[in-house]
Amino acid sequence: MKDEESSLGKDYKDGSIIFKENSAGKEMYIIISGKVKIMKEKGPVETILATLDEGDFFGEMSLFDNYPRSATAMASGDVKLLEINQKNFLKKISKDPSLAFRILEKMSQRIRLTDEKILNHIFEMQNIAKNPFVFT
Amino acid sequence: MSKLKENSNLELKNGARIAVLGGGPAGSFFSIFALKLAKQIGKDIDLTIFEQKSFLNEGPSSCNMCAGVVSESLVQLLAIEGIILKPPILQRAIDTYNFQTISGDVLLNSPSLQRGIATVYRGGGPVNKSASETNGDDTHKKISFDDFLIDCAKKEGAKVVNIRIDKIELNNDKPEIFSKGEKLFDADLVVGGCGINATTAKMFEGLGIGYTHPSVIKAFQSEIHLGKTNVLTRFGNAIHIFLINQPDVKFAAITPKGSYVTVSMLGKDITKQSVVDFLSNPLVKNKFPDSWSTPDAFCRCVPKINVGAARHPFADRIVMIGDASSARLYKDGIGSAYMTAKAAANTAILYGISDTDFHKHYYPTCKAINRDNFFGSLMFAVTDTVNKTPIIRESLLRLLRNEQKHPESGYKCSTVLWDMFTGNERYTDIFVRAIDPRLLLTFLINIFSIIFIRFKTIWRQ
Repeated sequence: MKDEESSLGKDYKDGSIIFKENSAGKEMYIIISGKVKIMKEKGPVETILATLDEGDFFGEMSLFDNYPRSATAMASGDVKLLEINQKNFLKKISKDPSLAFRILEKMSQRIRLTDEKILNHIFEMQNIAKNPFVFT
Repeated sequence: MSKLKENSNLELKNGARIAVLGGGPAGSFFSIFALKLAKQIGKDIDLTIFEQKSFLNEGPSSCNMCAGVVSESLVQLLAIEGIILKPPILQRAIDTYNFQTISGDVLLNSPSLQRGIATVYRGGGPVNKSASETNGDDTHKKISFDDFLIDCAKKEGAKVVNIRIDKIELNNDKPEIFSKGEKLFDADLVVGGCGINATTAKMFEGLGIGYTHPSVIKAFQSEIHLGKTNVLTRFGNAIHIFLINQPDVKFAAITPKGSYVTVSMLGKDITKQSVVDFLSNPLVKNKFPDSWSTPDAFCRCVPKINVGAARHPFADRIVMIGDASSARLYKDGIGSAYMTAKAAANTAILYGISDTDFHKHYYPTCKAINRDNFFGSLMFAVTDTVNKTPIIRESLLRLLRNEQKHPESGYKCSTVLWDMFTGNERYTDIFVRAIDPRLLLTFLINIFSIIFIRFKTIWRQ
Protein backbone atom coordinates (compact mmCIF):
# COMPACT_ATOMS: atom_id res chain seq x y z
CA MET A 1 0.00 0.00 0.00
CA LYS A 2 1.34 3.40 -0.98
CA ASP A 3 1.56 6.12 1.65
CA GLU A 4 0.01 8.59 -0.82
CA GLU A 5 -3.19 6.57 -0.48
CA SER A 6 -3.58 8.10 2.95
CA SER A 7 -5.43 10.95 1.27
CA LEU A 8 -9.23 11.05 1.29
CA GLY A 9 -11.39 10.21 -1.72
CA LYS A 10 -10.60 8.54 -5.03
CA ASP A 11 -7.53 8.99 -7.25
CA TYR A 12 -7.68 10.04 -10.90
CA LYS A 13 -4.56 10.09 -13.08
CA ASP A 14 -3.71 13.00 -15.36
CA GLY A 15 -6.00 13.05 -18.41
CA SER A 16 -8.50 10.52 -17.09
CA ILE A 17 -12.17 11.28 -17.70
CA ILE A 18 -14.21 11.67 -14.51
CA PHE A 19 -17.46 11.82 -16.46
CA LYS A 20 -18.45 12.37 -20.08
CA GLU A 21 -20.88 14.95 -21.43
CA ASN A 22 -24.39 13.49 -21.84
CA SER A 23 -23.67 10.54 -19.57
CA ALA A 24 -26.05 9.81 -16.69
CA GLY A 25 -24.80 11.21 -13.39
CA LYS A 26 -25.75 10.46 -9.82
CA GLU A 27 -22.69 11.89 -8.05
CA MET A 28 -21.17 15.24 -7.27
CA TYR A 29 -17.44 15.68 -6.69
CA ILE A 30 -15.33 17.87 -4.43
CA ILE A 31 -11.69 18.42 -5.34
CA ILE A 32 -9.42 17.37 -2.46
CA SER A 33 -6.26 18.11 -4.44
CA GLY A 34 -5.31 18.85 -8.05
CA LYS A 35 -7.19 20.51 -10.92
CA VAL A 36 -10.16 19.44 -13.05
CA LYS A 37 -11.02 20.75 -16.52
CA ILE A 38 -14.68 21.16 -17.44
CA MET A 39 -15.04 20.87 -21.23
CA LYS A 40 -17.80 20.94 -23.79
CA GLU A 41 -17.74 19.60 -27.33
CA LYS A 42 -19.54 21.23 -30.23
CA GLY A 43 -18.80 19.33 -33.43
CA PRO A 44 -15.04 18.96 -33.75
CA VAL A 45 -14.38 21.88 -31.40
CA GLU A 46 -13.62 21.23 -27.72
CA THR A 47 -13.94 24.27 -25.46
CA ILE A 48 -12.65 24.45 -21.90
CA LEU A 49 -15.41 26.12 -19.87
CA ALA A 50 -13.52 26.22 -16.60
CA THR A 51 -10.55 24.83 -14.71
CA LEU A 52 -11.53 24.00 -11.15
CA ASP A 53 -9.18 23.94 -8.19
CA GLU A 54 -8.93 22.43 -4.70
CA GLY A 55 -12.12 22.86 -2.68
CA ASP A 56 -14.28 23.46 -5.78
CA PHE A 57 -17.12 21.09 -6.55
CA PHE A 58 -18.70 19.98 -9.79
CA GLY A 59 -21.31 17.55 -11.07
CA GLU A 60 -23.94 18.94 -8.70
CA MET A 61 -26.31 20.05 -11.49
CA SER A 62 -27.31 16.48 -12.39
CA LEU A 63 -28.15 15.82 -8.75
CA PHE A 64 -30.76 18.59 -8.79
CA ASP A 65 -32.23 18.34 -12.30
CA ASN A 66 -31.64 14.63 -13.07
CA TYR A 67 -30.54 15.54 -16.60
CA PRO A 68 -27.45 13.98 -18.23
CA ARG A 69 -24.07 15.62 -17.59
CA SER A 70 -23.89 18.99 -19.33
CA ALA A 71 -20.10 18.83 -19.86
CA THR A 72 -17.11 16.51 -19.61
CA ALA A 73 -14.86 16.59 -16.54
CA MET A 74 -11.21 15.60 -17.00
CA ALA A 75 -8.34 15.36 -14.50
CA SER A 76 -5.64 17.94 -15.21
CA GLY A 77 -2.65 16.38 -13.46
CA ASP A 78 -3.17 13.79 -10.72
CA VAL A 79 -6.38 14.53 -8.84
CA LYS A 80 -8.03 13.33 -5.64
CA LEU A 81 -11.79 13.67 -5.50
CA LEU A 82 -14.38 13.10 -2.82
CA GLU A 83 -17.51 11.61 -4.34
CA ILE A 84 -20.97 12.24 -2.87
CA ASN A 85 -23.88 10.28 -4.29
CA GLN A 86 -27.27 11.81 -5.00
CA LYS A 87 -29.20 10.00 -2.28
CA ASN A 88 -26.68 10.91 0.44
CA PHE A 89 -26.48 14.47 -0.80
CA LEU A 90 -30.26 14.99 -0.83
CA LYS A 91 -30.53 13.36 2.62
CA LYS A 92 -27.97 15.82 3.96
CA ILE A 93 -29.79 18.78 2.43
CA SER A 94 -33.14 17.62 3.79
CA LYS A 95 -31.65 17.34 7.32
CA ASP A 96 -29.88 20.69 7.09
CA PRO A 97 -31.22 22.97 4.34
CA SER A 98 -28.59 25.61 5.19
CA LEU A 99 -26.02 23.22 3.68
CA ALA A 100 -27.33 24.32 0.30
CA PHE A 101 -26.18 27.94 0.98
CA ARG A 102 -22.61 27.31 -0.20
CA ILE A 103 -23.77 25.36 -3.24
CA LEU A 104 -26.22 28.13 -4.15
CA GLU A 105 -23.48 30.70 -3.57
CA LYS A 106 -21.13 28.88 -5.98
CA MET A 107 -23.91 28.33 -8.53
CA SER A 108 -24.85 32.04 -8.33
CA GLN A 109 -21.20 32.97 -8.93
CA ARG A 110 -21.11 30.68 -11.96
CA ILE A 111 -24.34 32.20 -13.36
CA ARG A 112 -22.90 35.72 -12.89
CA LEU A 113 -19.71 34.65 -14.69
CA THR A 114 -21.74 33.11 -17.51
CA ASP A 115 -23.87 36.30 -17.77
CA GLU A 116 -20.69 38.32 -18.08
CA LYS A 117 -19.31 36.01 -20.77
CA ILE A 118 -22.58 36.16 -22.73
CA LEU A 119 -22.65 39.93 -22.46
CA ASN A 120 -19.04 40.19 -23.70
CA HIS A 121 -19.86 37.83 -26.53
CA ILE A 122 -22.96 39.86 -27.56
CA PHE A 123 -20.90 43.04 -27.38
CA GLU A 124 -18.23 41.51 -29.63
CA MET A 125 -20.88 40.27 -32.10
CA GLN A 126 -22.48 43.72 -32.19
CA ASN A 127 -19.08 45.29 -32.87
CA ILE A 128 -18.45 42.86 -35.69
CA ALA A 129 -21.92 43.60 -37.14
CA LYS A 130 -21.29 47.34 -36.99
CA ASN A 131 -17.74 47.14 -38.40
CA PRO A 132 -17.65 43.92 -40.41
CA PHE A 133 -14.22 44.64 -41.93
CA VAL A 134 -12.42 45.65 -38.76
CA PHE A 135 -10.66 42.77 -37.05
CA THR A 136 -9.44 43.30 -33.55
CA MET B 1 -34.16 30.39 36.74
CA SER B 2 -32.24 33.08 34.91
CA LYS B 3 -31.98 36.47 36.56
CA LEU B 4 -31.84 38.03 33.09
CA LYS B 5 -34.97 39.86 32.00
CA GLU B 6 -37.20 37.39 30.13
CA ASN B 7 -37.49 38.61 26.59
CA SER B 8 -38.58 36.77 23.49
CA ASN B 9 -37.40 39.58 21.19
CA LEU B 10 -33.69 39.29 21.87
CA GLU B 11 -31.55 39.35 18.77
CA LEU B 12 -27.96 40.00 17.77
CA LYS B 13 -27.58 43.55 16.53
CA ASN B 14 -24.69 45.07 14.60
CA GLY B 15 -21.57 45.05 16.79
CA ALA B 16 -22.98 42.35 19.10
CA ARG B 17 -20.33 40.59 21.22
CA ILE B 18 -20.32 36.80 21.37
CA ALA B 19 -18.19 34.86 23.85
CA VAL B 20 -17.53 31.26 22.83
CA LEU B 21 -16.24 29.28 25.81
CA GLY B 22 -14.10 26.42 24.49
CA GLY B 23 -12.07 26.10 21.33
CA GLY B 24 -12.85 22.47 20.55
CA PRO B 25 -14.74 21.47 17.39
CA ALA B 26 -18.11 22.68 18.78
CA GLY B 27 -16.79 26.16 19.60
CA SER B 28 -14.92 26.47 16.30
CA PHE B 29 -17.84 25.17 14.21
CA PHE B 30 -20.20 27.63 15.93
CA SER B 31 -17.77 30.48 15.24
CA ILE B 32 -17.27 29.53 11.58
CA PHE B 33 -20.98 29.21 10.82
CA ALA B 34 -22.12 32.22 12.86
CA LEU B 35 -19.51 34.50 11.28
CA LYS B 36 -20.17 33.22 7.75
CA LEU B 37 -23.92 33.62 8.08
CA ALA B 38 -23.65 37.04 9.71
CA LYS B 39 -21.41 38.20 6.82
CA GLN B 40 -23.92 36.81 4.32
CA ILE B 41 -26.78 38.86 5.76
CA GLY B 42 -24.62 41.93 6.31
CA LYS B 43 -24.49 41.74 10.10
CA ASP B 44 -21.29 42.71 11.88
CA ILE B 45 -20.60 40.58 14.96
CA ASP B 46 -17.62 40.52 17.30
CA LEU B 47 -16.85 36.92 18.26
CA THR B 48 -14.16 35.76 20.69
CA ILE B 49 -13.22 32.15 21.40
CA PHE B 50 -11.84 31.62 24.91
CA GLU B 51 -9.61 28.54 25.01
CA GLN B 52 -7.01 28.02 27.66
CA LYS B 53 -5.23 25.13 25.90
CA SER B 54 -2.85 25.31 23.01
CA PHE B 55 -3.55 22.30 20.82
CA LEU B 56 -0.05 22.39 19.38
CA ASN B 57 1.78 20.63 22.20
CA GLU B 58 2.13 16.88 22.59
CA GLY B 59 0.29 14.73 25.11
CA PRO B 60 -3.10 14.71 26.87
CA SER B 61 -2.79 18.20 28.41
CA SER B 62 -3.01 19.76 24.93
CA CYS B 63 -5.54 17.34 23.54
CA ASN B 64 -9.33 17.15 23.65
CA MET B 65 -8.94 13.41 24.11
CA CYS B 66 -10.99 11.25 21.78
CA ALA B 67 -10.36 8.48 19.22
CA GLY B 68 -10.07 11.15 16.52
CA VAL B 69 -12.22 9.54 13.86
CA VAL B 70 -14.15 11.86 11.53
CA SER B 71 -17.08 9.95 10.00
CA GLU B 72 -17.56 9.73 6.23
CA SER B 73 -20.75 11.72 6.52
CA LEU B 74 -18.96 14.55 8.37
CA VAL B 75 -15.97 14.50 5.99
CA GLN B 76 -18.45 15.11 3.16
CA LEU B 77 -20.39 17.79 5.04
CA LEU B 78 -17.17 19.64 5.87
CA ALA B 79 -15.99 19.39 2.26
CA ILE B 80 -19.29 20.90 1.07
CA GLU B 81 -18.76 23.70 3.62
CA GLY B 82 -15.29 24.26 2.16
CA ILE B 83 -13.34 22.61 5.01
CA ILE B 84 -11.08 20.05 3.35
CA LEU B 85 -9.14 17.57 5.49
CA LYS B 86 -5.67 16.87 4.12
CA PRO B 87 -2.31 15.73 5.50
CA PRO B 88 -0.73 16.63 7.89
CA ILE B 89 -4.08 17.18 9.70
CA LEU B 90 -5.35 13.96 8.17
CA GLN B 91 -3.39 11.09 9.69
CA ARG B 92 -4.96 8.30 7.66
CA ALA B 93 -7.89 7.97 5.29
CA ILE B 94 -9.98 4.90 6.09
CA ASP B 95 -11.90 2.75 3.62
CA THR B 96 -12.22 -0.54 5.51
CA TYR B 97 -13.38 -1.86 8.88
CA ASN B 98 -12.11 -5.16 10.21
CA PHE B 99 -14.45 -6.88 12.69
CA GLN B 100 -12.55 -9.29 14.86
CA THR B 101 -14.49 -11.68 17.08
CA ILE B 102 -13.31 -14.82 18.85
CA SER B 103 -15.07 -16.80 16.11
CA GLY B 104 -13.12 -15.13 13.31
CA ASP B 105 -12.97 -11.86 11.48
CA VAL B 106 -14.48 -10.16 8.46
CA LEU B 107 -13.37 -7.18 6.39
CA LEU B 108 -16.02 -4.67 5.39
CA ASN B 109 -15.22 -2.25 2.60
CA SER B 110 -16.71 1.20 2.39
CA PRO B 111 -20.02 1.05 0.46
CA SER B 112 -18.96 4.24 -1.34
CA LEU B 113 -15.74 2.52 -2.53
CA GLN B 114 -13.59 5.46 -1.52
CA ARG B 115 -11.36 6.45 1.38
CA GLY B 116 -14.05 8.47 3.09
CA ILE B 117 -13.26 8.38 6.84
CA ALA B 118 -10.52 10.54 8.34
CA THR B 119 -8.39 9.82 11.39
CA VAL B 120 -6.88 12.84 13.12
CA TYR B 121 -5.06 13.93 16.25
CA ARG B 122 -7.07 16.32 18.38
CA GLY B 123 -3.92 17.83 19.92
CA GLY B 124 -0.28 17.94 18.90
CA GLY B 125 0.02 14.15 18.94
CA PRO B 126 1.23 11.59 21.48
CA VAL B 127 3.79 12.39 24.18
CA ASN B 128 7.40 12.14 22.90
CA LYS B 129 6.09 12.02 19.34
CA SER B 130 9.06 13.88 17.95
CA ALA B 131 11.53 11.47 19.51
CA SER B 132 9.83 8.43 18.08
CA GLU B 133 8.73 9.62 14.65
CA THR B 134 10.47 7.87 11.82
CA ASN B 135 9.81 10.66 9.38
CA GLY B 136 11.51 13.78 10.65
CA ASP B 137 9.63 16.02 8.20
CA ASP B 138 6.39 15.61 10.13
CA THR B 139 7.67 16.69 13.52
CA HIS B 140 7.32 20.45 13.10
CA LYS B 141 4.08 20.46 11.13
CA LYS B 142 0.84 21.51 12.79
CA ILE B 143 -1.16 18.31 12.99
CA SER B 144 -3.96 19.17 15.43
CA PHE B 145 -7.49 18.94 14.05
CA ASP B 146 -8.78 21.26 16.78
CA ASP B 147 -6.10 23.83 15.99
CA PHE B 148 -6.94 23.55 12.28
CA LEU B 149 -10.61 24.33 13.02
CA ILE B 150 -9.62 27.30 15.20
CA ASP B 151 -7.57 28.57 12.24
CA CYS B 152 -10.66 28.20 10.02
CA ALA B 153 -12.65 30.24 12.58
CA LYS B 154 -9.89 32.89 12.67
CA LYS B 155 -10.07 33.17 8.87
CA GLU B 156 -13.77 33.96 9.23
CA GLY B 157 -12.91 36.72 11.71
CA ALA B 158 -12.97 35.06 15.14
CA LYS B 159 -10.62 36.35 17.83
CA VAL B 160 -8.96 33.73 20.03
CA VAL B 161 -7.92 34.47 23.60
CA ASN B 162 -5.94 31.81 25.52
CA ILE B 163 -7.49 32.30 28.94
CA ARG B 164 -10.14 30.46 30.93
CA ILE B 165 -13.43 32.10 31.74
CA ASP B 166 -14.02 31.17 35.37
CA LYS B 167 -17.13 33.17 36.22
CA ILE B 168 -20.31 34.30 34.54
CA GLU B 169 -22.77 36.64 36.24
CA LEU B 170 -26.35 37.16 35.19
CA ASN B 171 -27.20 40.24 37.25
CA ASN B 172 -27.81 42.68 34.43
CA ASP B 173 -29.38 42.65 30.98
CA LYS B 174 -26.42 40.79 29.54
CA PRO B 175 -24.20 37.97 30.93
CA GLU B 176 -20.96 39.35 32.34
CA ILE B 177 -17.87 37.18 31.82
CA PHE B 178 -14.86 37.12 34.11
CA SER B 179 -11.37 35.65 34.14
CA LYS B 180 -9.29 35.56 37.36
CA GLY B 181 -11.64 38.00 39.03
CA GLU B 182 -11.44 40.56 36.24
CA LYS B 183 -14.55 41.40 34.26
CA LEU B 184 -13.86 41.09 30.53
CA PHE B 185 -17.09 42.30 28.94
CA ASP B 186 -20.88 42.08 28.82
CA ALA B 187 -21.70 39.45 26.23
CA ASP B 188 -24.75 39.59 23.99
CA LEU B 189 -24.46 35.84 23.72
CA VAL B 190 -22.45 33.25 25.65
CA VAL B 191 -21.86 29.94 23.85
CA GLY B 192 -20.83 26.97 26.01
CA GLY B 193 -18.68 24.70 23.88
CA CYS B 194 -16.73 23.50 26.87
CA GLY B 195 -17.30 19.74 26.63
CA ILE B 196 -17.87 17.65 29.73
CA ASN B 197 -14.32 17.30 30.98
CA ALA B 198 -14.11 20.95 31.91
CA THR B 199 -15.17 22.59 35.15
CA THR B 200 -16.73 25.25 32.91
CA ALA B 201 -19.77 22.97 32.50
CA LYS B 202 -20.24 23.12 36.30
CA MET B 203 -20.08 26.90 36.10
CA PHE B 204 -23.08 26.92 33.76
CA GLU B 205 -25.00 24.63 36.15
CA GLY B 206 -24.46 27.19 38.86
CA LEU B 207 -26.14 29.95 36.85
CA GLY B 208 -29.62 28.80 37.78
CA ILE B 209 -30.82 28.55 34.18
CA GLY B 210 -31.94 24.94 34.65
CA TYR B 211 -28.92 23.50 32.85
CA THR B 212 -27.62 20.10 33.97
CA HIS B 213 -24.64 18.56 32.20
CA PRO B 214 -25.12 15.17 30.50
CA SER B 215 -24.37 11.84 32.18
CA VAL B 216 -20.97 10.43 31.27
CA ILE B 217 -18.87 7.28 31.28
CA LYS B 218 -15.12 6.95 31.05
CA ALA B 219 -13.26 5.72 28.01
CA PHE B 220 -9.59 4.83 27.73
CA GLN B 221 -7.42 6.01 24.84
CA SER B 222 -3.81 4.98 24.29
CA GLU B 223 -1.39 5.89 21.55
CA ILE B 224 0.98 3.03 20.74
CA HIS B 225 4.05 3.69 18.59
CA LEU B 226 4.63 1.13 15.84
CA GLY B 227 6.44 3.10 13.14
CA LYS B 228 4.97 4.28 9.87
CA THR B 229 5.82 1.16 7.86
CA ASN B 230 4.36 -1.22 10.43
CA VAL B 231 1.17 0.85 10.73
CA LEU B 232 0.87 0.89 6.96
CA THR B 233 1.51 -2.81 6.37
CA ARG B 234 -0.27 -4.17 9.46
CA PHE B 235 -3.30 -1.88 9.69
CA GLY B 236 -3.42 -0.18 6.30
CA ASN B 237 -6.53 1.92 5.76
CA ALA B 238 -8.66 -0.13 8.18
CA ILE B 239 -10.06 0.52 11.63
CA HIS B 240 -10.06 -2.74 13.60
CA ILE B 241 -13.03 -3.38 15.89
CA PHE B 242 -12.57 -6.10 18.51
CA LEU B 243 -15.54 -7.92 20.02
CA ILE B 244 -13.52 -10.46 21.97
CA ASN B 245 -15.36 -10.81 25.29
CA GLN B 246 -12.65 -9.27 27.48
CA PRO B 247 -14.16 -8.86 30.98
CA ASP B 248 -15.64 -5.39 31.58
CA VAL B 249 -14.75 -4.24 28.04
CA LYS B 250 -17.77 -3.25 26.02
CA PHE B 251 -15.88 -2.36 22.90
CA ALA B 252 -12.29 -1.97 21.73
CA ALA B 253 -10.87 -0.56 18.52
CA ILE B 254 -7.49 0.10 16.96
CA THR B 255 -7.26 3.12 14.67
CA PRO B 256 -4.18 3.68 12.49
CA LYS B 257 -2.66 7.18 12.55
CA GLY B 258 0.72 8.05 11.02
CA SER B 259 3.32 6.05 12.91
CA TYR B 260 0.98 5.29 15.83
CA VAL B 261 -2.17 3.31 16.42
CA THR B 262 -4.84 4.60 18.79
CA VAL B 263 -6.27 1.91 21.07
CA SER B 264 -9.74 2.95 22.25
CA MET B 265 -11.53 0.96 24.92
CA LEU B 266 -14.93 1.42 26.43
CA GLY B 267 -16.26 -0.28 29.54
CA LYS B 268 -16.27 -0.37 33.32
CA ASP B 269 -13.10 0.62 35.17
CA ILE B 270 -10.71 0.31 32.25
CA THR B 271 -7.13 0.72 33.44
CA LYS B 272 -3.68 0.63 31.90
CA GLN B 273 -3.64 -3.09 32.81
CA SER B 274 -6.84 -3.63 30.74
CA VAL B 275 -4.99 -2.16 27.76
CA VAL B 276 -1.96 -4.38 28.39
CA ASP B 277 -4.29 -7.44 28.69
CA PHE B 278 -6.06 -6.42 25.49
CA LEU B 279 -2.79 -6.03 23.60
CA SER B 280 -1.65 -9.42 24.93
CA ASN B 281 -4.76 -11.20 23.63
CA PRO B 282 -3.56 -13.54 20.82
CA LEU B 283 -6.21 -12.15 18.41
CA VAL B 284 -4.92 -8.63 18.99
CA LYS B 285 -1.22 -9.56 19.18
CA ASN B 286 -1.60 -11.27 15.82
CA LYS B 287 -2.19 -7.85 14.23
CA PHE B 288 1.16 -6.55 15.47
CA PRO B 289 4.63 -7.47 14.17
CA ASP B 290 6.09 -10.69 15.66
CA SER B 291 8.99 -8.87 17.27
CA TRP B 292 6.72 -6.25 18.85
CA SER B 293 5.99 -6.22 22.56
CA THR B 294 3.74 -3.89 24.58
CA PRO B 295 5.81 -0.87 25.64
CA ASP B 296 6.12 -0.09 29.35
CA ALA B 297 5.06 3.50 28.86
CA PHE B 298 2.73 4.98 26.29
CA CYS B 299 0.63 8.12 25.88
CA ARG B 300 -2.77 7.49 27.44
CA CYS B 301 -5.78 9.37 28.73
CA VAL B 302 -9.14 8.65 30.33
CA PRO B 303 -11.65 11.00 28.71
CA LYS B 304 -15.28 11.14 29.75
CA ILE B 305 -17.79 10.52 27.02
CA ASN B 306 -21.32 11.81 26.88
CA VAL B 307 -23.96 9.07 27.16
CA GLY B 308 -26.97 11.15 28.06
CA ALA B 309 -28.49 14.49 27.27
CA ALA B 310 -28.03 17.82 29.04
CA ARG B 311 -31.14 19.35 30.59
CA HIS B 312 -32.18 22.74 29.30
CA PRO B 313 -29.01 23.54 27.30
CA PHE B 314 -30.07 27.13 26.62
CA ALA B 315 -31.48 30.28 28.19
CA ASP B 316 -31.81 33.92 27.17
CA ARG B 317 -28.39 34.86 25.71
CA ILE B 318 -26.86 31.46 26.58
CA VAL B 319 -26.57 28.28 24.53
CA MET B 320 -24.65 25.06 25.20
CA ILE B 321 -23.35 23.06 22.25
CA GLY B 322 -21.43 19.85 21.45
CA ASP B 323 -20.74 17.43 24.31
CA ALA B 324 -22.03 19.99 26.80
CA SER B 325 -25.44 19.61 25.18
CA SER B 326 -26.20 16.41 23.22
CA ALA B 327 -23.93 13.90 21.52
CA ARG B 328 -24.47 10.71 19.59
CA LEU B 329 -24.03 7.58 21.70
CA TYR B 330 -20.44 6.23 21.59
CA LYS B 331 -19.86 7.51 18.04
CA ASP B 332 -19.26 10.59 15.98
CA GLY B 333 -18.76 13.09 18.80
CA ILE B 334 -17.25 15.56 16.32
CA GLY B 335 -20.31 15.08 14.10
CA SER B 336 -22.59 15.92 17.05
CA ALA B 337 -20.51 19.03 17.72
CA TYR B 338 -21.02 20.04 14.07
CA MET B 339 -24.79 19.47 14.19
CA THR B 340 -25.46 21.29 17.47
CA ALA B 341 -23.03 24.13 16.70
CA LYS B 342 -24.57 24.77 13.29
CA ALA B 343 -28.12 24.67 14.63
CA ALA B 344 -27.16 27.11 17.41
CA ALA B 345 -25.35 29.45 14.98
CA ASN B 346 -28.28 29.46 12.53
CA THR B 347 -30.69 30.20 15.41
CA ALA B 348 -28.58 33.00 16.87
CA ILE B 349 -27.99 34.77 13.56
CA LEU B 350 -31.30 34.17 11.75
CA TYR B 351 -33.89 33.99 14.53
CA GLY B 352 -32.74 35.36 17.87
CA ILE B 353 -31.00 34.57 21.13
CA SER B 354 -33.86 34.27 23.59
CA ASP B 355 -34.79 31.09 25.45
CA THR B 356 -37.86 30.87 23.18
CA ASP B 357 -35.77 31.15 20.00
CA PHE B 358 -33.36 28.43 21.11
CA HIS B 359 -36.24 26.22 22.22
CA LYS B 360 -38.00 26.62 18.88
CA HIS B 361 -35.08 26.49 16.44
CA TYR B 362 -32.11 24.90 18.25
CA TYR B 363 -33.56 22.37 20.68
CA PRO B 364 -35.15 20.16 17.94
CA THR B 365 -31.60 19.25 16.81
CA CYS B 366 -30.69 18.18 20.37
CA LYS B 367 -33.96 16.30 20.76
CA ALA B 368 -33.37 14.48 17.46
CA ILE B 369 -29.92 13.34 18.69
CA ASN B 370 -31.35 12.25 22.05
CA ARG B 371 -34.21 10.33 20.43
CA ASP B 372 -31.78 8.70 18.02
CA ASN B 373 -29.58 7.57 20.92
CA PHE B 374 -32.46 5.44 22.22
CA PHE B 375 -32.20 3.35 19.05
CA GLY B 376 -28.40 3.50 19.40
CA SER B 377 -28.56 1.92 22.86
CA LEU B 378 -30.88 -0.80 21.46
CA MET B 379 -28.42 -1.52 18.65
CA PHE B 380 -25.46 -1.69 21.02
CA ALA B 381 -27.42 -4.01 23.36
CA VAL B 382 -28.00 -6.31 20.37
CA THR B 383 -24.27 -6.14 19.50
CA ASP B 384 -23.46 -7.09 23.08
CA THR B 385 -25.76 -10.12 22.85
CA VAL B 386 -24.26 -11.11 19.50
CA ASN B 387 -20.78 -10.81 20.97
CA LYS B 388 -21.66 -13.02 23.95
CA THR B 389 -23.63 -15.71 22.10
CA PRO B 390 -21.37 -17.99 20.00
CA ILE B 391 -24.09 -19.30 17.66
CA ILE B 392 -25.44 -15.83 16.85
CA ARG B 393 -21.88 -14.46 16.51
CA GLU B 394 -20.90 -17.20 14.05
CA SER B 395 -24.16 -16.72 12.11
CA LEU B 396 -23.47 -13.02 11.76
CA LEU B 397 -19.93 -13.66 10.52
CA ARG B 398 -21.24 -16.23 8.05
CA LEU B 399 -23.86 -13.78 6.80
CA LEU B 400 -21.30 -10.98 6.42
CA ARG B 401 -18.83 -13.24 4.59
CA ASN B 402 -21.57 -14.41 2.22
CA GLU B 403 -22.46 -10.80 1.44
CA GLN B 404 -18.82 -9.99 0.70
CA LYS B 405 -18.54 -13.09 -1.54
CA HIS B 406 -21.80 -12.43 -3.40
CA PRO B 407 -22.14 -8.66 -3.79
CA GLU B 408 -24.93 -9.13 -6.34
CA SER B 409 -27.31 -10.07 -3.49
CA GLY B 410 -26.63 -6.75 -1.76
CA TYR B 411 -24.76 -5.66 1.36
CA LYS B 412 -27.75 -5.34 3.71
CA CYS B 413 -26.11 -6.62 6.90
CA SER B 414 -22.64 -5.25 6.03
CA THR B 415 -23.97 -1.72 5.57
CA VAL B 416 -25.92 -1.95 8.86
CA LEU B 417 -22.72 -2.87 10.69
CA TRP B 418 -20.65 -0.36 8.70
CA ASP B 419 -22.98 2.54 9.46
CA MET B 420 -23.29 1.58 13.10
CA PHE B 421 -19.57 1.39 13.83
CA THR B 422 -18.54 4.26 11.59
CA GLY B 423 -21.26 6.57 12.95
CA ASN B 424 -22.12 7.33 9.35
CA GLU B 425 -25.91 7.22 9.67
CA ARG B 426 -28.51 7.97 12.32
CA TYR B 427 -29.15 4.99 14.63
CA THR B 428 -32.87 5.26 13.80
CA ASP B 429 -32.18 4.69 10.09
CA ILE B 430 -29.82 1.81 10.88
CA PHE B 431 -32.40 0.26 13.23
CA VAL B 432 -35.11 0.42 10.56
CA ARG B 433 -32.77 -1.27 8.06
CA ALA B 434 -31.73 -3.87 10.67
CA ILE B 435 -35.32 -5.01 11.25
CA ASP B 436 -35.95 -5.50 7.54
CA PRO B 437 -37.89 -8.83 7.39
CA ARG B 438 -35.73 -10.18 4.54
CA LEU B 439 -32.54 -9.47 6.47
CA LEU B 440 -33.96 -11.02 9.65
CA LEU B 441 -35.05 -14.10 7.68
CA THR B 442 -31.57 -14.49 6.15
CA PHE B 443 -30.07 -14.12 9.60
CA LEU B 444 -32.42 -16.76 10.98
CA ILE B 445 -31.53 -19.15 8.15
CA ASN B 446 -27.85 -18.62 9.00
CA ILE B 447 -28.53 -19.34 12.68
CA PHE B 448 -30.25 -22.61 11.76
CA SER B 449 -27.36 -23.50 9.41
CA ILE B 450 -24.83 -22.98 12.20
CA ILE B 451 -26.94 -25.06 14.63
CA PHE B 452 -27.23 -27.80 11.99
CA ILE B 453 -23.46 -27.78 11.35
CA ARG B 454 -22.80 -28.01 15.10
CA PHE B 455 -25.22 -30.93 15.51
CA LYS B 456 -23.64 -32.69 12.54
CA THR B 457 -20.17 -32.28 14.06
CA ILE B 458 -21.34 -33.59 17.45
CA TRP B 459 -23.17 -36.52 15.76
CA ARG B 460 -20.05 -37.52 13.82
CA GLN B 461 -17.93 -37.42 16.96
